[in-house]
Amino acid sequence: MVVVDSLVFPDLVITMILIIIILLLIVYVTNQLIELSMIDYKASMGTYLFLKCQLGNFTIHLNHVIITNGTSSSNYLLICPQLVVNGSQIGAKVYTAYVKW
Amino acid sequence: MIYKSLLPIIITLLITMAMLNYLISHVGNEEVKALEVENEYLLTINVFKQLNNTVPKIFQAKACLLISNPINYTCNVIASNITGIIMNALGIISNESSGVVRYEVVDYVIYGINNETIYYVTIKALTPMGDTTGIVGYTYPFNLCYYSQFIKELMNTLNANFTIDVENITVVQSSLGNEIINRVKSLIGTSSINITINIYYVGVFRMINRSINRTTYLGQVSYTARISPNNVHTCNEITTLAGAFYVTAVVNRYVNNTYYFSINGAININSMVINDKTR
Repeated sequence: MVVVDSLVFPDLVITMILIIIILLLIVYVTNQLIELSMIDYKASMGTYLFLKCQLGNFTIHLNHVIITNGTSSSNYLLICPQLVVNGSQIGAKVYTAYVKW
Repeated sequence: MIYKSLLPIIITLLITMAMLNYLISHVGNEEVKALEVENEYLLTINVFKQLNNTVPKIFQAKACLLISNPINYTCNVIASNITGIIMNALGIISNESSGVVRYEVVDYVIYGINNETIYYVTIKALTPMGDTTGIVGYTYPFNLCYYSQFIKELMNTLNANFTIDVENITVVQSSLGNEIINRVKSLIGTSSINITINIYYVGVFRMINRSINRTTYLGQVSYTARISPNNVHTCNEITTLAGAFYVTAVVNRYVNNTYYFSINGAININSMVINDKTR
């Protein structure tokens, strides 16, 4: 018992608990860093697509940004209306960019 | 006492967490605002810009329609047609964007001034971020409003019957030609309309009355007038008018044996030449 008592000293228990806390905090901080980089990604994609829309060429070939015809949900990144002359009419199309993970 | 050396790590992590939390909420808000501003720009000002690029082409096509048919297709019809086309396109944008943006046409104006037709429409865009009002317009380098009015007056002028006094039936043709030229010239007056008018006419006269010092002929003159605006390079259309009028030709003597005669002629009038002379 004396040997066991000396092995399971309170220090070790506290150290174990603290290391677990540290690990959990590291996971949390990593998660926050990812979230921050996602915000940054969305912002830079927004800027890029903003310019593309004004140039009249609203296309992108990336895995995490998709462009659809029309707007289906409120979770959009950018909405880009495009007008073209179609005979004696003005043709209108709306493209919407979404970020998907 | 090893655990005491872990405490600074935890404190550092907690501070990092707090900083990151602040950063995420701050940067996240800024990103949402930036996207709102970008979306608003694309749905309002960029749409107005695109309309300013597309409306001229539509207007030029409609102007050609007016030039080929100025009697029925007036500049007010152009304005309401084009405004309808714009509203239709904006309605599609509003529908396809699930109502994120709505557009209202506040008013539209068309008028001719000097040698130009000015059209503009005021559009209000309602977005979740606020209302934006924009003006879309185009200036066409020819006074279409005055043109359709001018063509109507020209037709009335050409269709009016008249009487000419001549010494001899051989001068009926030149006398008639001068009369038509004078009528068109007085109609053009000092206006700044820039057009070329070609009139071809054919007339057949018959004697209707004869006395010792007076012979009267009545003629029906058919004409075809082709009117084309000068300096309008976006349209090859011309206006064609056709009609007929009666001319009474009075010869101040007894004409022995000419019961019928016919005339034909062509007149070419350039409004700018007339105006140069009058100045």
